[in-house]
Amino acid sequence: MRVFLKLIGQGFRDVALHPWAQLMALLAVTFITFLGGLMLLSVDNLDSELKVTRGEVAFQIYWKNNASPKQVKETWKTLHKMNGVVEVLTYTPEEALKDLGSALPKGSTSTLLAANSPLPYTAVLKFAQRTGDVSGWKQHTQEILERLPEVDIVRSSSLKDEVSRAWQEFSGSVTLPILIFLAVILSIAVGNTIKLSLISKMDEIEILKLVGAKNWYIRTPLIVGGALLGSVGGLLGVAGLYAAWWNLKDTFNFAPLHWELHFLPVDQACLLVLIPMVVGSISSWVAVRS
Amino acid sequence: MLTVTNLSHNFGSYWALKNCSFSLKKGEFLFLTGSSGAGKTTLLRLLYASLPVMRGNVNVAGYDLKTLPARKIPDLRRKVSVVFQDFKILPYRTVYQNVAMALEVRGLNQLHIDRRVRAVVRGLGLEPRINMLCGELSGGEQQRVAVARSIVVNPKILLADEPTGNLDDELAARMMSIFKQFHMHGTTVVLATHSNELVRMHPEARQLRLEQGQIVAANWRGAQVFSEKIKEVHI
Repeated sequence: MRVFLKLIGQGFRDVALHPWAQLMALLAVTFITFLGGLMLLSVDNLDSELKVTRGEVAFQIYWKNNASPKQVKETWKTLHKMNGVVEVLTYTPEEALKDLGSALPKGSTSTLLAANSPLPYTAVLKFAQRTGDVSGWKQHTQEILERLPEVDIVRSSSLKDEVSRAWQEFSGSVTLPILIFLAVILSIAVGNTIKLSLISKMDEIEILKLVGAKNWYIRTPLIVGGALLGSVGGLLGVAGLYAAWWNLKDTFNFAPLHWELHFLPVDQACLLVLIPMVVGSISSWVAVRS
Repeated sequence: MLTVTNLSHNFGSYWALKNCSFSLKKGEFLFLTGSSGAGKTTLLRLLYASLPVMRGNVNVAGYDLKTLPARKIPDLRRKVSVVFQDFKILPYRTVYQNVAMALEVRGLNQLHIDRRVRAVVRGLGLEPRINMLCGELSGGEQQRVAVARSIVVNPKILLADEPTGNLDDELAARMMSIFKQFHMHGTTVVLATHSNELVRMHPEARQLRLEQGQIVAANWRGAQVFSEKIKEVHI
């Protein structure tokens, strides 16, 4: 154990043998980790943003033009009691026209029609995020809403669902290959640096072999060097990623988007340090194996 | 302790050793002589498994080198120490570190390493230089560091390739007395040299003369002399 700890220490000291080459490799590992992290951060933020709306199904209900106001308002009361409803927005024809008018220039058609709005009674019904058979539930709810008294049309937010599903499929199929590609580049960078260390230590290795050193004794410091390069590069990459996130987190945080970027979960951030360390160790082991 | 049977070795079309056979018992001292290019270094390299045995057989300290797997070579080298013609020491490490290296690879405790290194370094007159970088030492001092590293492990067999080549007469004599001391304690010593003077000073030792890769003379019956001009020398 004492010998092993000594060899680990040797691995740390040997980093100073080729400071420039080590620095370049360290920068390469840092950038690769940063790029990988940036990609994970984007995917994770988009993913969670889409997840928020994925199961949340919104229905827009339009009543017939000649619907009785009293009947409609009675129905609105029942909407609040529906299971899973989180928000009910209701609009009388006048309110709907006013809302529409606020988005149009002054003196436009909406102002002129103020006294006699052509818009129907409308309600927007939002349900909480759902799991399980969302499409079956949605179909069932739509049928219930369509049977409400004097309802003309019921529309649901199916497009959002499709976009979310498509994104999930896309990110699922693209993330892994990109991460593998970055890991390969990482292993080449670390492996080449370790080979360089190996060349510079040829004399020492030859002497060690001549005095009876076993392979593990010779390889351990080099593998430790690779692991060190990977983990320090990974740490710096995550630190850079954190700094980038800190500066960008409020970039999309404005009305009506209100999208505040969150940093990677702790487990993913740890993985960003652990993966370069493991890749560094493995590529060093491959480099020194012969 | 050391048996060489019909050993031949070639580098491409050049035969560096041809049908060499000899054996040494534990604690014997052998001078390997011959002019430059006679095959002395090749023979030594074969004895410590730096070259593979292609033809013939070699048995060193109980290891059959023809069938020895690569993973067992470190075990052999822990019993066989070598002093090289070009020293093979690390110039950017201190005298102490260079000598201690041979013990550290064996996983010995630091106290033991320290005691042994200092004793050997003192014996070779290197104590004032113990913390100096080897690159700052003279050729003779570097050679003594190489000798110190090889004897600090108390090897069963000590192979030395021109170990006194860079030393003045006084230091060469001192070095030889160290080898003799080891020999007296039961270490088998094989010393390659082209110095006839050195050989003449130690008439009691075994002698084996190589020429163009063949044993052309030996002073004991344990060696098989292959040559048209077969002769047995007694000095």
